[in-house]
Amino acid sequence: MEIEQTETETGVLVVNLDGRLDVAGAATADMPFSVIAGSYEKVVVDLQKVEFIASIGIRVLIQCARRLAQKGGGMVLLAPQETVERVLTTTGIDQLMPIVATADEAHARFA
Amino acid sequence: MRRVSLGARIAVIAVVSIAALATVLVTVSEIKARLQANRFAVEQLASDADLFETIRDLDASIMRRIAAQLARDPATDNALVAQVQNQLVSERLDRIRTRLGVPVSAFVLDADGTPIVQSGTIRPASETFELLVGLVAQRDNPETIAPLPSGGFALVVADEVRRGDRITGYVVLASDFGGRLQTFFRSVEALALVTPEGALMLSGSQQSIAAQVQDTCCSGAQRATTTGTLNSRSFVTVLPIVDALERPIGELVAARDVTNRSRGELLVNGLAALTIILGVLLAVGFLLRAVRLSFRPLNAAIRVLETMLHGDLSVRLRPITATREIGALVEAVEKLREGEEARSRLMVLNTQLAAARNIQQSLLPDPAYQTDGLSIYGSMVPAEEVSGDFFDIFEIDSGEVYVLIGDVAGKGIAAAMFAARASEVIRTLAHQGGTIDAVVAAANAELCARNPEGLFVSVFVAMLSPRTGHVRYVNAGHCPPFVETQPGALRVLEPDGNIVLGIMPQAVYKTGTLQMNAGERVLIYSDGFDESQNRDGAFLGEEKALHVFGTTTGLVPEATVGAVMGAIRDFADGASQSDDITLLAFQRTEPTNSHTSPAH
Repeated sequence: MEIEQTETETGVLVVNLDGRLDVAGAATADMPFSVIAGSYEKVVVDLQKVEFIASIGIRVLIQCARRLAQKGGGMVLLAPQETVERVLTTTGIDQLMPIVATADEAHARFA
Repeated sequence: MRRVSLGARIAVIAVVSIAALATVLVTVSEIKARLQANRFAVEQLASDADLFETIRDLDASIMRRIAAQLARDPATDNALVAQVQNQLVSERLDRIRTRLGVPVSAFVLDADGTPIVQSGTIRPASETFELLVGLVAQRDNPETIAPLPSGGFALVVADEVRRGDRITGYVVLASDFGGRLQTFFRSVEALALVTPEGALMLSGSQQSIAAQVQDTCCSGAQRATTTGTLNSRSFVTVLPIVDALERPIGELVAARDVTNRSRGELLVNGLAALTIILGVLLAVGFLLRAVRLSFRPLNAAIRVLETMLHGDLSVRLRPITATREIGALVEAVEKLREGEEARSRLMVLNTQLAAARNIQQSLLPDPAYQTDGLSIYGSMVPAEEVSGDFFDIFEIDSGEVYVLIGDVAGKGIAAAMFAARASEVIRTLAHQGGTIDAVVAAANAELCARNPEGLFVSVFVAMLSPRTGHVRYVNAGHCPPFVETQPGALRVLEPDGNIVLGIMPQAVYKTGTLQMNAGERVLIYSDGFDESQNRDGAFLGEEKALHVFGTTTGLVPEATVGAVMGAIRDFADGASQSDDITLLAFQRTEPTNSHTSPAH
């Protein structure tokens, strides 16, 4: 799991994830997402390169998203692969974190 | 077997090495001392030989001068003619006697060498006269040392008496040479003249010394030896005595008492030995101390290991200064102890995990449930000791049967405890009655309320009516179950987009329904099934999972669960199970009392 963070001019943090968000991936991502939750309000998580997401990976995203929501911010999930999107919709967490297809849509959410 | 401590072994080696070194030192000094003694012996011998020669030459020259005077004196000639001793000869002899301080004899021989006048007590044998008379013709003033028949030796000189060119007789003087030697070798302890026939003690009383050299007498060689016992040691020089023809005729033996000097040497040697012993002891002491100091950390390490053997892992090793090897050992022991401590903590944890597993297993229902019109079978295989999965089968007062499967995100004790709580909450709420969506919503609210770990659980809850085959279900974020309506006719019970429990307190849950006819089967499962992995890390996937379910057509729930578990194992092909696997199958069966029951 590789994590790349880019902050846009509008103060939105884009997090690019690459790899599997399984038990090991979640362990790697846990700390960075805790830091992100403490440092930002608006976060876009780019899931294009995530092949797999386990429930423990969802938990990492949810914990971050909940803390962002408490601060009045939020998290948007960008362009997940089909299998990953199915997991996200199955678990219903798209209710908590909107899933969008393009970057423009993602940024529009925080406009 | 008795084990020798390393310290003792090193001490023994050290003592042996130091003793060996000391022996070498003592040997070297002994050799040096012996060399010195030999040098002393050579010097003493040379000095004695010089003295001996000097006395002989001195006496001989005095005697020759007087012999010459006598030979020229008319009185001697008269004496030869008269063949009687006269006054003049006696007077001259008295002068020599006074000069030398020892008895001297004078002889006047005729031309044939026969004594005609003699004076004094020293009487050389007739061969001596013959020897000298023979020598007179060859050299001036012949002299010799001759054994005396009475013992001892005489220094004898001769001169010829002439009348014109004709030799009319000889004057021979003989002095007690042994007595002369005695006056010069005053400092010796014992002085003896030794001949093959016997020894004449000139002074002292150590007959034994003379006797010792008797056997080797008269080889004609100078030598020096040391004799004696522990209490008395003597240094002995032996000088050959030769006659005018250089024939060895006896020996002068001079013995000097070196007992005191030996004592001094012994004392010095003793002091040296004592010093060496003290040095050795000191060295050993220092060495033992050094060894003990270096091994002290080792003892500490041993104590730690011993306490570890008794199960006590609390004794730590303080950081210490030690030699490299022991330091490394001590570090290793400390690491071992830490490792053991961690292991023992892990063992405690494992014990706790095993207890948790027991508790969790005891919370699971009887896997098989049979009632008229319904057959259910559930099974859970945790990936680790405890599981985040759970399932439940229970009947509520209305006669309907709840089946549910839950999957808490994550694994381990926290997940297991959350699973137990979720299971308990749903069961409690279900028993209180109400619609299934209300039960799930209430359970969600309850699980959101106290959730410090931010855990969540996906559940599939179904309320089955054994009598009618009607099924109401809520899928809260769980994997979609499989349904088989007809043999080979499979479908996926698509999710309704309900969110998992534990995240959104206000979440509303949609209910799904299903009408099951006799023989219809439903398989609900946790993602351990469709996300099971093989050795290459490939997932089974939902499609293949559905296919696996399809292969179980005609099987009752228990057999279905068994067959699917088997298929998962086959797919995994030895890869370790990465997630909990829970399967629950239920089947609508033909009610035996269908005549009393409504069709639906």
